[in-house]
Amino acid sequence: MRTFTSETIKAIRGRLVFKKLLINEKCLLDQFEESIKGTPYESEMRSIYTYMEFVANNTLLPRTKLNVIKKCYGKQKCYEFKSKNLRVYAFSITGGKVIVLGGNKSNQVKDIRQLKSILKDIIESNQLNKL
Amino acid sequence: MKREELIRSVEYWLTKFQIKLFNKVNDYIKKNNLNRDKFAKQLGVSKGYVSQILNGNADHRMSKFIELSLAIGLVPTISFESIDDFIQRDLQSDRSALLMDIKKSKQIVRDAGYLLSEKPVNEYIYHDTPSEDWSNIDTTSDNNFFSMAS
Repeated sequence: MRTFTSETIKAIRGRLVFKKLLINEKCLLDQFEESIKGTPYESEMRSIYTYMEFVANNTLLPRTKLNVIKKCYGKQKCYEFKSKNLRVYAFSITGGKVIVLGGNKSNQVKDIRQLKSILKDIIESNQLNKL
Repeated sequence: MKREELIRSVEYWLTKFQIKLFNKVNDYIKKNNLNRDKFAKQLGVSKGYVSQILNGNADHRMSKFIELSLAIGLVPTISFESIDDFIQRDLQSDRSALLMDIKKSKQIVRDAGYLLSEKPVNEYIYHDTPSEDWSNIDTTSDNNFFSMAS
């Protein structure tokens, strides 16, 4: 069974807490950030972090920057933060959001499938309230 | 991503600027029952220009930005601050927010009728009776360090 934990993202300040998901102590977001280090995508990632900070402060974002994926698992909604080439996926918890993974636009379908599978595992193993 | 790296980046400030502008223009359009077409006509600009703003991608000349601000009944006010001062202030505001949260949490616990210490935690750690030595605790005298919530 996969174990899910979370860590607060300290780069984001706001009324809502933003956390990153750890699966068996490994963070998919950190892995993605590592993979784009030194590429032009690094600057897009900084824009996405800024979008997340706006959400953390309950500020409206254009639909081109934040997309809601309805019924990700059951009634649970998921969120897709968007830049020109990157996507970052999250879901809501009480008082904040948990970032699950990041990816390239070209891998969107595969990444959303992975997001849904992870969320399903979290909910079915009753680990949502531990995050 | 480190907080400081984010604050020192162009993308952080550009994105802040773009999203704030989007929100101001979006509010104006909603308040005045306009759509993108009507707003573009009113401003005498192209639809593409309005779309860029409403998609959070505005990156225009300063004169255009000022024109736009005035057209929606606002004046742009700009201030500058040293990065180091800003980072210091950002760090402090986070600490004070944490302290505020701790105070609020304490009040909630007190309101719920729990006993709560008024003494800083570090005083307990260094000067108090070891918790296992229960015989030394005077239960008859008033204990100023504890209060009962109403």
